[in-house]
Amino acid sequence: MALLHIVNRSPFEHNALPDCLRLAKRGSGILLIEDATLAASVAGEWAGRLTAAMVEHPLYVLLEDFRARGFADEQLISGATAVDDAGFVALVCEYDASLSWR
Amino acid sequence: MAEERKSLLILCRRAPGGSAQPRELLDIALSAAAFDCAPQLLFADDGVCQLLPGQPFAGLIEALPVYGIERIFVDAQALARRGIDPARLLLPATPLAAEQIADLLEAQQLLLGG
Repeated sequence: MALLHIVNRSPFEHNALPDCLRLAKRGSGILLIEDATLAASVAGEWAGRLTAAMVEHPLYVLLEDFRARGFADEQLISGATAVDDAGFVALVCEYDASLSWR
Repeated sequence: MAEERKSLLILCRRAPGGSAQPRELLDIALSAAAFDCAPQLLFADDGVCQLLPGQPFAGLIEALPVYGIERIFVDAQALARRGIDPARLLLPATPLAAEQIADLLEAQQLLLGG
């Protein structure tokens, strides 16, 4: 499989997610962890851009981090795959390589 | 039998002058070069400012080729957005468009981001 991009910064505060979306090759995966999970709120202003990005990239969200920021599971953007810690590890193994956007 | 050397790219995205992180990533690059695994460097986002003369560790950037780190790339759009003329850079870093960066990232076996 391709490259897995791991983003941990809030797109409301940092440029990591927009830069990652601009520079990620079609087919590469994107995993949101920590504050980056804020982007995955279905009613938030990032929902549209992430939905568009999901045409080209599988999108994964570390659910525990999303919950820890006050969101309920049903507020997760549709089309994203929720993963737990074991799922996170499995993704890193599945993909050929990973890159952290910090 | 020795394992085949892996391709390594370090993505430098933070401006100098703030945290210690940009300098630490460069130290990792130099360590890798010392072990005969010279990484490729890609400067993007605010990290493009590391290539400007006058920043605190400009001397180290200039010395990278001495340590065998010669494949240095820069996000052309990040330069343009910050009004930086590529001719002012400390090194002849290769400016890349977004699609070229996407291909460069996919071609690596190991990536370290900041």
